[in-house]
Amino acid sequence: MTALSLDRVRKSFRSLEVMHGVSFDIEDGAFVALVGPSGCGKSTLLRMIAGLETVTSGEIRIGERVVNDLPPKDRDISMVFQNYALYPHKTVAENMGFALKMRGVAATEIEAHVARAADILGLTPLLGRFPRELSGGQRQRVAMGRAIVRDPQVFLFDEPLSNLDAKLRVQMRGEIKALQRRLCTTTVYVTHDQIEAMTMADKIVVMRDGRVEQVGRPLDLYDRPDNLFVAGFIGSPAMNFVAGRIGADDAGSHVTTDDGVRLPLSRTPAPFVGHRVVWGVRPEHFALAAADPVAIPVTVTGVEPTGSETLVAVRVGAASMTVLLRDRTGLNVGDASRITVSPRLIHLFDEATGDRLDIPPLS
Amino acid sequence: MAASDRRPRYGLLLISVLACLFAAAPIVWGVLTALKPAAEVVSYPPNLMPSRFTLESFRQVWSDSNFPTYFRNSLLVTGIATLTSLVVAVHAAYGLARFDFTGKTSLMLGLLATSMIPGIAILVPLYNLSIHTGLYNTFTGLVIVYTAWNIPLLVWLLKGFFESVPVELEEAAMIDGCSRMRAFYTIVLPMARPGMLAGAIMAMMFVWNDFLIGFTLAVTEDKRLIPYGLYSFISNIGVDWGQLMAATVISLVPVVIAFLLLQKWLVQGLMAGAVKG
Repeated sequence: MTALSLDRVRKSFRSLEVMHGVSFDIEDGAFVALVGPSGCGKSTLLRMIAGLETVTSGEIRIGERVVNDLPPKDRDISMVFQNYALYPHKTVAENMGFALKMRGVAATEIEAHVARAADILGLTPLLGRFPRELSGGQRQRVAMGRAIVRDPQVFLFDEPLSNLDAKLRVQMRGEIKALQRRLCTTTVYVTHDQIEAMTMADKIVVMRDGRVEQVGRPLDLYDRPDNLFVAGFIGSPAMNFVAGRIGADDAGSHVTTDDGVRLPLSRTPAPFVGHRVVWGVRPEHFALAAADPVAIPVTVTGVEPTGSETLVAVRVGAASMTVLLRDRTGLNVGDASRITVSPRLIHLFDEATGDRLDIPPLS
Repeated sequence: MAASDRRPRYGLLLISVLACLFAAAPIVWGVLTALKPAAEVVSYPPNLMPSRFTLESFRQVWSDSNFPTYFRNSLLVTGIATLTSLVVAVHAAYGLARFDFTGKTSLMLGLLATSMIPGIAILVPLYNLSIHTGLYNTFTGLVIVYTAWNIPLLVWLLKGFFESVPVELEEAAMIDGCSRMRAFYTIVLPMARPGMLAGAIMAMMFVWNDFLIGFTLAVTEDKRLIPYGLYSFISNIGVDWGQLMAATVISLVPVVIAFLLLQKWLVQGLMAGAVKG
């Protein structure tokens, strides 16, 4: 069943359109991440779902109801804000029970609901404290407690971890995901951090400039990005791109860069030969092949060992690329070497449109 | 190191004590004069300390003059005018802090401009207006004028407070089940309490101390306010210093009580408003 559905949703501020017809559906109980760079419209979209921004045109449905014109309080949602937005003059228990109080729920029932949520989140000893007496992680938990205490139809999270330090962020990431699994409540989670999106979400919506670039499962986006933007945005370190032209000769198909370097390619049907493309490979898909005469010749320009892996910056003709190696290497800056990649791990994009080129390989 | 840290503090302490003495001296002199026997008040050379303490001047002020009526009138007008100014200004300031609309800047500048006009410049128009509207010599007329007078400054002060309350708090409240107005009353107002109290004290002080408007628009004994009451102890045949000082001390009491109760909020309020910018 669809829990949340957006159909050609547009948003304009006066004459400036910032959301250009966004459509996607979210199944009941799914955890969906909205990702994209700053200013892509993901937070605006979340606020439109919450009812904090008006919808210029299109339709937002929560369950079976069109909620475009409903005030936030009637949408059966709860939201966790980036700065937590805890009421500073209320205790943790009062913060968590406020929504129920507004609905006219009896005090004893509120207490029971708050106690249950506090128990789930380990907040029981903090119920009498004020937000100013809590650490960042505790505030984050209280904000989540406030959201879950109402048992809403949809949870909305607006970059809830961006104010925490790196270690706490990883811990809270796990906690939010575990909580969502336990409660099975449909969740929309906005983040600019693609790692957060990849690790937490069942489905990712990648946005840019008020448009949806791709919707899919995390590994599908990673394995088959629809366009250059998604390919570059998903994955860290980012995918390497080199522009060139598809060529074919007796040795097989290849992409020749503008400065004449031959990059490997699966055997390509004749109609594609001569096509201008962007050749893309993820850093972790390269392998060192110093002794292979047909591998890509590179010059090492930087070596960054992190212990478990080594990031090697290389130059291929005039282009820069990053190679991620799991093994330790004896490479030094200035060394000449060769790298190779399996043709099935190569992504091709149309240079003019940026769209993925699905070329059926010749057997 | 500790000594060098402390030395400047002694200097500050000295300056503070001198400033307090400078500010308190007239009040101390007034209180002591009010407690002197009538003959000693005008004796020459003057003595600071009375030969004996007496409440005779206070008794005379309270039983032999209309001062209790003035006092009651002032309490009434100040209380209502402060409350109405605050109610209007709180809503206006919130609107100006949270919403963008055409003419907002002009409106704010207009408000500022009106509070720059000296009271005496519009005294005659106010007098004429109050006669024509039937509000001359009425408490309603006084309350309306004082309220209008207080609003611009209060709006400016409170707008800063509302801007310093994160908008997400209201949004969270709206998602939690509040309408915008309920979010304002339940979440924003309690957070802006220091600003509101600071504003209330400023408004109260203005109304309580004003002589010009009260003297012009309230002319019968049953409508007069305290500043006129103090002025009435100065007559053609002389000044009754003992009673004047006693009345002054009585008129200080509500202000001092308000300050003592609210001083913590007042300092915090004025500081927070200033820092916001």
